[in-house]
Amino acid sequence: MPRSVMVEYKACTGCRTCEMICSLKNEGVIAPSLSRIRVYCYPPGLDIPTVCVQCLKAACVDACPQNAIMKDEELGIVIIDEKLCTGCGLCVEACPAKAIVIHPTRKVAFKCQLCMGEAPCVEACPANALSLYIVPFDTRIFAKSPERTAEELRKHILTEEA
Amino acid sequence: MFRGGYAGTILEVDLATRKIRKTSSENFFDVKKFVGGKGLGALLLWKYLEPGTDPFAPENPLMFLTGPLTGTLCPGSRMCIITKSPLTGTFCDSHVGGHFGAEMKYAGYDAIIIYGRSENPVYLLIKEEVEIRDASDLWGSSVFETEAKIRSWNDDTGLRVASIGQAGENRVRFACICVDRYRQAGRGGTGAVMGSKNLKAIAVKGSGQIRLHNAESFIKIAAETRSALLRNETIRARKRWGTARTVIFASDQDLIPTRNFQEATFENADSLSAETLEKKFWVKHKACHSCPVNCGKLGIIKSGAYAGAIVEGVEYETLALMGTNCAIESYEVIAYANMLCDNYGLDTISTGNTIAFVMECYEKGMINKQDTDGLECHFGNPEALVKLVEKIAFRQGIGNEMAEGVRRYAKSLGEKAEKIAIQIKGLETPGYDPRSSPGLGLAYATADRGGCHTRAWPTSYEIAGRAADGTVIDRFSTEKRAEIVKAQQDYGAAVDCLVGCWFVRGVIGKRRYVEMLNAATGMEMTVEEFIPLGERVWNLVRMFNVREGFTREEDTLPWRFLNESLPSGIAQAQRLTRKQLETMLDEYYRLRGWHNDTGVPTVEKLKELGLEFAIL
Repeated sequence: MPRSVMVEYKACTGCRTCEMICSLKNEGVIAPSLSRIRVYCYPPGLDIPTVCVQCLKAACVDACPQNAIMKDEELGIVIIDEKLCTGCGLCVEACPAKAIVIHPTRKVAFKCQLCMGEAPCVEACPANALSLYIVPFDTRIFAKSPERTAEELRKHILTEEA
Repeated sequence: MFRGGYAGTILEVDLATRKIRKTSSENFFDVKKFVGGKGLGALLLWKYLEPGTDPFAPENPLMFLTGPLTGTLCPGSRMCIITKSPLTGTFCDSHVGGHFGAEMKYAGYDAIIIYGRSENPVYLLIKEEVEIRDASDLWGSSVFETEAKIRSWNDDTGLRVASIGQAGENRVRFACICVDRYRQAGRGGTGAVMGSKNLKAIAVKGSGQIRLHNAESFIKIAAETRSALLRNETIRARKRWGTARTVIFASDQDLIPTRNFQEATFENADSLSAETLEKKFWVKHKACHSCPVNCGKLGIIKSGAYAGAIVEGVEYETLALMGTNCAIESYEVIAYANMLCDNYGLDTISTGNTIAFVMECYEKGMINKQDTDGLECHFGNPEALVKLVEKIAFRQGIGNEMAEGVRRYAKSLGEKAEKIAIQIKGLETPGYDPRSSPGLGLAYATADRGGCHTRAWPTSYEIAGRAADGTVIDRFSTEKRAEIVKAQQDYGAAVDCLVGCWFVRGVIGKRRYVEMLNAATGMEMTVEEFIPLGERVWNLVRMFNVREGFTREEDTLPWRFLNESLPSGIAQAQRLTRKQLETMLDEYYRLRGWHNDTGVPTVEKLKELGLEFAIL
């Protein structure tokens, strides 16, 4: 069943607990630069957690010249095969959400793979801004840039009419 | 030695010689004895600063200090900025949340220590490298502009910035250092010291990591702490309503400063309540790094003269000092003035307190329209509030006098004015009137940085009518206050070494703090060693102030609190007599092991705490 970490942007308080939990779980240290979920902050205080939404038709999969990225149809997760990845970075450029990053030491691409379904970030979020969403097969979800999301949120809550 | 918690390096920058030095934290100081944050800052200020140094002299260091739990999952982990205060001449630790402290640690630094004065305006850019950059084009910019420019010049939205606005540049003695637009190291004038160094900002982005000695155990305790907080009723209220919820409580309890502390209950408190702000102003909750409480609230003014203005807040202290204390009934006006303060880099407590002082002087004829540059400075006049904020930040006209702080300004006006200047050791008193909380009077009189409510707050015990050990106490008596205040100061100073937030420390408790500290660092501190850590730091700071010339004589309260009774409310006719204050002080010094006549720590006490080096 396709799944993804979904974000309720307005609810995010910007505490970055998710980044810390993620890097601890996946890398064993607290390091936002190694986190699979990243909280971007735009003035005057809009917090936009960005994480792979496991696109149904993913730009990163198409961009990879090594065929190292694939969509696991059963789990619904976009998975990177580190053995095939050369760290060329084309997927990083292709992803509008900035959800893929090249690992500073291992030099391969990495992204949220839902901790194979556990998603400890969802559990730890004190603002209930994250949820593990089971995506219906006929729903088309696509990655979106954090800047665009911030702009939408700004219009939604930070105008005099809102 | 320590396998985690700390970032590992202390960064020293001399702005005069442009020398940059990096030292391993463990080689830099006795980590187990002083831990970090306030403890480290107290040690360094004692070591580096010649007594009697002008706070604006290049020799006064400006230190940005984190603790071993900053940037970790410990809820409410912050940083503090330490220097000698230009407002009080005392030691000053000013604490701030936001994300700067965490980011500093991800960049690899437990502390950034600034010495000297640059010839030209500069800012520090800290990423993989540390660079001193030209800030000529930033000088004159507000805080919001400074943050935006630095991010844009470096094409990095992830940079966290600590900066000063025009107030810091102009050395307003209560200018603050601002982080993430709306978070301030508010008290004591750290921003003016930064301005005196020609340092406009520090921008930091960290790509490093914090290791944990025992990650599994740390995650468990942090998660347990998080749920304990979220189960707590007071914390849940704070999560929804922030500190603004205190307005109605403080007005009901005869605590809220009104018309320059002439009264302590405000007739229109409802118009400034959290319910009003929630309904009309707030749009989003905001949290500091790693905090589940999100007491910050982002709001936008939706109509009227200030429509479109956005600010995080309005915090209780601002609602009290710039609101009720100036008799301003409109939250919109206060929110706008709050935004101006954040943007110019002014402490809203000192600013509001000083403006209320001007309003009382004006109403009582101690100053006139000529003195106020034509402004009608009556209580409740929104225009006066907004204009005076601007005048202070730019030191224009009367603002130039006000920028010196209420004590210095009152002195220039004469004895009558000095009696109504509500300050302690030069620091403008915050948003609680001690006449309806005698223990708070003792807390104010003995606070290390002057009139401060974040060293001890015995008020909740007084209102509940019971001390921590369950003993019944009378609200307006002085019994057990010394004991309560000492315990809170010691615990607080220990938490300030970590550096933990004031709002969550009560629920977290020393056992959890010590467990998190040990799991993060491998330090093996016992719970029994935690309070003595705080006591050590409290005594070292006291010795710093003693060396600067402070004695028992300065441990006092404003004339008004000791001589005028509250006119209304549940504490009607109450005041704190000098005799009551002296009784509490006698008991306090006895419990502290300080000389009763001078308030100086005894040699035995200093030896007991391992502070032999601080014996004068």
